[in-house]
Amino acid sequence: MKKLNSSILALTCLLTAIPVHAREWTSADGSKKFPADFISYNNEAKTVTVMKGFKKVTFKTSMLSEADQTWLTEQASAKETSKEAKKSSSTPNIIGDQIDKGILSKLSGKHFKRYTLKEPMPEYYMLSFSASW
Amino acid sequence: MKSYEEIIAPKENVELIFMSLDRSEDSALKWAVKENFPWPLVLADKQKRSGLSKFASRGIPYYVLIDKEGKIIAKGKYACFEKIKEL
Repeated sequence: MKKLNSSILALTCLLTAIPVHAREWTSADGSKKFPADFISYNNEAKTVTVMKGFKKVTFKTSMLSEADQTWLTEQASAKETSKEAKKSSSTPNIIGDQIDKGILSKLSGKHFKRYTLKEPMPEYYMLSFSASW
Repeated sequence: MKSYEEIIAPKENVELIFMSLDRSEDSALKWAVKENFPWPLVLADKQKRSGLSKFASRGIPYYVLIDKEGKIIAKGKYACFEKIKEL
């Protein structure tokens, strides 16, 4: 009985598991449609890999409809943006750390006061070298 | 000043750092008060310690845009502001 219950539970989990990118794909000429889970897209080779049932299939994106091809390029673009954002936030702010040690001043009324960079620190610094003369 | 207010001030990911080349802090202060500098600055006696003096050029005024790792993105006033508009 216990074995049957755990089998039923495992089967239920398998059947109700939601695939990450389950999608209905359409052929380029619109004549065929098929369901498959999106695995990956190779922007350079213009190929897509999907899971059709239990089989992994890779084919040229030119075989797909324009809507599907657009969806794929959007996925690639979203992945790149996410990668860039992660890279940007994870790299150290060397300049910020360098100058945020009692080096900066700012005008406060008619005096200079010590200034600390706001958090989060800027990604870019425009340096303006000048003098009153 | 107008370019700063229109292009840089609204952007949270860009900061203008004024590198004062006035040897006297008094001179730097007088000018800052007169023009009402809204930006942070590095006074002459702290520039070496800041590590930013290496970005200076011979002539002034001089503008250079760098990223947080110290990589030069643009040089010259026009190029810097045009690049900042894209950021």
